[in-house]
Amino acid sequence: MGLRIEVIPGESFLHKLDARPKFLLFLLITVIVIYFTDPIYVGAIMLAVLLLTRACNISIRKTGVIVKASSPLLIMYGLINVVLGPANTLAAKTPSNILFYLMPVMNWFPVTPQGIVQSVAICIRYAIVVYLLQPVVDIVLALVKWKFPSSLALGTSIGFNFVPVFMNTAASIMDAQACRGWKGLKSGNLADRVRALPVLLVPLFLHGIESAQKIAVAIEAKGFGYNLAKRTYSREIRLRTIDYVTLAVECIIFVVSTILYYTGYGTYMFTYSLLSGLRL
Amino acid sequence: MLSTLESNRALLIIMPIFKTKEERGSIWAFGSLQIGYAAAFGGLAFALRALGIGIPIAPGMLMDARDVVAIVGPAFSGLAGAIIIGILAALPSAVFSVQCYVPLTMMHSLVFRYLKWPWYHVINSILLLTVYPTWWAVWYQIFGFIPNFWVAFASNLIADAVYIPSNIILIEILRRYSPAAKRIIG
Repeated sequence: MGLRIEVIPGESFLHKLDARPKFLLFLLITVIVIYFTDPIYVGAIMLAVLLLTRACNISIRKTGVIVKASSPLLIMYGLINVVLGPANTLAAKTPSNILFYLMPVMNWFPVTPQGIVQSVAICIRYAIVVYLLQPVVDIVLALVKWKFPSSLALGTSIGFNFVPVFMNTAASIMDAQACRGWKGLKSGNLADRVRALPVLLVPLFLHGIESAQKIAVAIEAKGFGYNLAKRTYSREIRLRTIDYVTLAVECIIFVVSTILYYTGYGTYMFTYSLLSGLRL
Repeated sequence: MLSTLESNRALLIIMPIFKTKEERGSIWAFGSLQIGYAAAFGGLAFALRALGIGIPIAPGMLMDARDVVAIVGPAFSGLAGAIIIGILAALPSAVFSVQCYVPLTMMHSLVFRYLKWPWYHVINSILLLTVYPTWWAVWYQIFGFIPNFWVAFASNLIADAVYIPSNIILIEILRRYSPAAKRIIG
């Protein structure tokens, strides 16, 4: 199943924001989600992300499909963290903390409540990181405003615009090769699958080489190279009051999260102590 | 009868390791053709991930075809273009992948820039077995997805079973059937 990555247009507060505060919000959530290992803190960030999605009048079910598609990986990360997570490793040194063993006969892989709590937090963290796959086309304009080299920004924006072309080409090539007896990438053993990959990639690469030459001719024809830094855009982006306010709020969130992190808040012990209190 | 040293020297003359300055060109050259290659292969990597095309090697583990594009694509686009390919390849799987992909695409670009056939296959394979899993394992550690370094390293090493042969097969087919590709990759 292909992942649906597209711009969902709208008139919400977030849609109207300049690309720069949106880009920083994107980075901010990614950074602060690493700070915390407590399910309640990470859950609060997840809730904030979902509320932002709702505020944009975007269906959570529609955007959440990407998390659903990544669920096997999410479960795998969860299980790995239950067993190998630092919280579990530390807690397992005290035998009274051990709830059970994953391999009870040999007493291997002890599981502790601390490990489970931290693992839940890591799973939510992963879901947030995967969920943050929002469109980034405007970011190119923001990068240019931030003195990112114009030629790199131009290449990135052309690349974005070529994604639907390559998606259609890839689908057509897969259909054409299937007609010739290609069994796809999911059948046979690993060696068969590795051999099957070039059958798809070679035509795609040849199409890529051809497209690259056409792009080169097209941008040369449009005057590429003539004072690129001073080129103008049909749509100029400018920071407004609402953008400055959003940037200020983002700075405050970042500073508060950093202070919480360095003062030891937001670790799995917060939820663990709450759960221990409930048990008593 | 040639001694081992002489035969090795003869081999080096037949198969020189490094490209000449004329073959390499400027390291920061980023003209319209390089932009075209960067955009095309970056877009291709993005599209492959967006379509979910990859080789399933275990339940829940998919070896992304975009990684093959992220390794071979920089051979065409040069160092600056490798940054674009890295960004575009990374974005479909969240912003955290950008800092993982960009240095790796730049590294592969340098390998193709400085080394001749077939040495770039050798060095790329060595880098894929060492630097690639290490770099990903470090970021998995930072994000806490896989807390044990060696488990993260091993899980990324498995991917090399797909990437190394795929890259070699792909490059060899391109060199054989595309004069443009052979001229650029060398």
